[in-house]
Amino acid sequence: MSQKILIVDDEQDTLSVLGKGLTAEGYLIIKADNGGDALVLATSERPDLIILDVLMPGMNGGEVARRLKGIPETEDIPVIFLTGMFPKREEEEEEEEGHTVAGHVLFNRPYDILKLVTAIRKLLQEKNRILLE
Amino acid sequence: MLSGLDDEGTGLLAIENGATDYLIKDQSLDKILIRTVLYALARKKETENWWRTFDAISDLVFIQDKDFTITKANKAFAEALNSKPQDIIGKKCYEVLHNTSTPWPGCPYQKTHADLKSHTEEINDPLINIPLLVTTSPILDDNGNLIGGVHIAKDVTEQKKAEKLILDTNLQLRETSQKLLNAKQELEKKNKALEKAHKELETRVEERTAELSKANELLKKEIAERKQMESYLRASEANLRKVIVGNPDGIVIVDKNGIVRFVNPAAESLFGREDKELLGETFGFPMVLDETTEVETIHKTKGIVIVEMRMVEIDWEGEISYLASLHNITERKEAEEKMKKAMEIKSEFISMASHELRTPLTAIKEGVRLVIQEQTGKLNDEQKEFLGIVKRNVERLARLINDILDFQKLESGKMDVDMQKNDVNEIVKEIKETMTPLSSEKGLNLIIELDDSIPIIKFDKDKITQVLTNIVNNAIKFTEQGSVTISTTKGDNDNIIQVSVSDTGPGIKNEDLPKLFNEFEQLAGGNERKTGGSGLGLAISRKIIKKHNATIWAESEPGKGTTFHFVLPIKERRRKPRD
Repeated sequence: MSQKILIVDDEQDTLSVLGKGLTAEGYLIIKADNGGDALVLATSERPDLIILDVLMPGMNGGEVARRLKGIPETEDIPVIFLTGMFPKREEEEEEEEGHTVAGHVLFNRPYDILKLVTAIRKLLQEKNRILLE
Repeated sequence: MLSGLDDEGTGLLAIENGATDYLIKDQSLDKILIRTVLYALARKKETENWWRTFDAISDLVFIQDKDFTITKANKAFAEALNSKPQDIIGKKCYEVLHNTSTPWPGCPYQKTHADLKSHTEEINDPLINIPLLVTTSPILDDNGNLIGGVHIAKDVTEQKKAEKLILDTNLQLRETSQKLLNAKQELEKKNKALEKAHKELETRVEERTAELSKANELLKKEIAERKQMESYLRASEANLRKVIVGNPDGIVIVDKNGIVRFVNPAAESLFGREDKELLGETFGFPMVLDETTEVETIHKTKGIVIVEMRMVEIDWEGEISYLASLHNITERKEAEEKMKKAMEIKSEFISMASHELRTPLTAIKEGVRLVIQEQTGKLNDEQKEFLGIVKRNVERLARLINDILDFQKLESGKMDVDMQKNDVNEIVKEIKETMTPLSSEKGLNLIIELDDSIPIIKFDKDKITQVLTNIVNNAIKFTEQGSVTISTTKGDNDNIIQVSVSDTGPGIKNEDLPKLFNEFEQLAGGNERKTGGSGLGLAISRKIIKKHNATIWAESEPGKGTTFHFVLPIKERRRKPRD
């Protein structure tokens, strides 16, 4: 069965492009353009992974993630953050899984789709392993 | 006396009457006769002796009987009257003495005669012409009856003289005494006066002393106060000195002739010279009071030093002098230079970078256009969809790059406006065409209301388009439902055209209205809103409008909507030299 990914971003263009990119990789994509809808959809659709834009009007990505942790149906869903604010430092090699900050996975924009997909795969494998244990 | 009477009584009578002896005849006569002759001789001698004694008395003596007849007078008395005793005896005393026929009133014998006592009187008899002290003494018989008197007159001339002398002397004495008394009284008076004067003086001295004492006290107080003030002053001065000496800015005090009188340590280091080198030298800088001026000076070792100087007039050691405070701004100036250079470099870089950015952007834009316009072949819907996304975002990028360039121009102050004759209404129509897709996407109506009577005016077409685009873009962005209306009218006065853009969005709070046109100001800022802009749009718009000598502003009613207005002048005003 295809893995379901919920992508949340207030920019329609981002949703279109990212959605298409991930669909091409074989994922089932559901979209939300604000935090409120994201929570509703996450609870009802139970995606396998959520990609959250950090900077959004209303509820920002961080807030959404916090709330997701508080809902039993969504607390275990892995999250990837997308942000345009993280400065790239030359010395830093771009990690394959993106930056990890305080246990969260963060991707800078513009993202490399291959790296993003790798990260998604890794997180989903982790999740499945935990479930199987 | 011889008598045959042998009678004692008769014999006594005879003796009494002066008989020496009383002889009775038949007695042994010879013996008795001898005895009697002896007695008679003895008695005669006695009597003679007695009268000799009587005449020997130097005082004037006479004896008078009770009828004032002189019975005996002594030699002295007779001589005094220049007569002989025989002539006097038998006469009345007052006849002899006073030549009167009656007793003299002051006669003491009269008194003696009366009271049978001795009396003494002082008599000045003209006949005798000598002052006499007369004493009359009574001669009494055995029964105490007066039988006569003794009148003794003493020549008291000498006494009188003595008396007079005594009197005179007494008088003199008394006079002298009186004079002395007077003098004493005078002296006492003078003494009293002196005492009084003395007391007065004392009182005055006391008063004076009290006054002086008070004055002294006051003076002491004043001195104490002054001393305290002096010490305060000195403390103040000391503090002032500390301030001056410790001040990081240089302080130089110059007298009215422009000679340096004082420099503080900071000034020394400013000039790189010690105060003894600087004192007495001419200050050399223009002395402008109460203004801040910039001066250049040469430090002994560090070269040119730039100083911000401020001069004020002060009272220094009693003379009009000038205090200059020198603030070293060399570093600041250098920093300013550096910053200017940095700004220039940055400007250049931004210019270059944005131009560099535009090149690939153009390629992308053109490439996408060619494909969208199906000049490379037919497109399916999905292809059209994604290419649309690309095109849109390329335009967004382009706008951002323009914003950055504009920002750089804003910073550097350079912005040229190309004033050409244009039609405002045309611009509005063009914008409507460009922005309708955007508004339709959001389900908003984009309405235009144009006043056809507005004239053709001079303005920079591209820039005004930019302004209007920015405003309309914002209107659409911030409005969720309703419409955005662009209108043109003739303004309140004859010389302007007004363009307004109103929306039915949430509106803007009154207190936020002034911030709208600030650089980088985005309402409801912070993490929440990602507005897809640089925050410069309105700031740049304002600058553009200013360059047209016009104004731009906004009005809003929270809950109802917002309207942005800008006006453009019909007649070009002469450009002001400053923006």
